[in-house]
Amino acid sequence: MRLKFLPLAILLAVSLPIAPAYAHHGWSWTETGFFRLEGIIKSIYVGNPHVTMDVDVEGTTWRVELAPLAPTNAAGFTEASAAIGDEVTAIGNRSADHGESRMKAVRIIVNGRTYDVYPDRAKAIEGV
Amino acid sequence: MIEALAAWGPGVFLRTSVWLYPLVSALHILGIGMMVCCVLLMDAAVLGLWGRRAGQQAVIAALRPVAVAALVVAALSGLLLFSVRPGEYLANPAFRLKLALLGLALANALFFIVFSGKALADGWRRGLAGLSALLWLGVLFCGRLIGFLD
Repeated sequence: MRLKFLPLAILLAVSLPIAPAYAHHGWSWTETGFFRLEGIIKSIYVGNPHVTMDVDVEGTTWRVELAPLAPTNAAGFTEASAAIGDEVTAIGNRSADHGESRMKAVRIIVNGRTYDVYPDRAKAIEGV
Repeated sequence: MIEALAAWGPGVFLRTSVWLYPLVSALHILGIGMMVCCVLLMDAAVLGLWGRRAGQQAVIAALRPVAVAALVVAALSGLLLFSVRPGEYLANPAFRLKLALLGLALANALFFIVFSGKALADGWRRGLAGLSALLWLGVLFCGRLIGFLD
């Protein structure tokens, strides 16, 4: 009788590792070393579940992911902090898949202000 | 329509609310958890894996209303979460697959409810129940994948 559950258990076990390496959640999809991106803000979203920016870098649009809304706000970054057309510098971790133009920002520099949206990680930034 | 949904009051509020968003997210999980649990138990009963054959109808009678109520909670909270960034979610392959599987799962459930009287052979009932379990677990898994795919 118990064996009848086996196919279901196998299906679950097999399907779990399909979760791709690139992701919003966590840092598993990013490279280890810091990456610096400079460009012009094309669009910006300050809200749940994550704050994001689309940044134009010489014709290529990069998706820059910040922290979730609460820690981003706690870092001082709000809707009033940046606008479309602003020059922005993002320092953080680039997607390990270089085919996609995506990074997770630890620090954002815009309009003369610096926002460490992941303060603990930002401590490791030195002259990037 | 997507723009209208993006400008919808509750969605706008949820977008910038630090506490309400996790609360609605938790409600969504609660609805999913209760619903999928009931569905799997009903499927197991129809498949003959749980309880006696004669108890099948009792299991369904007890659990189906709970599953439907939980589905309503999951759907409403899901719509709220979706309205925060509708364009982004519609472009997300995991979200699209989830909606497709959800449609199939609902159609499968409706088919079972409509024809499960005496009209369906036992083999069919078992087949639909097995399909139900696979489809709803697929919906659950694709939902979890949304945050990992873009």
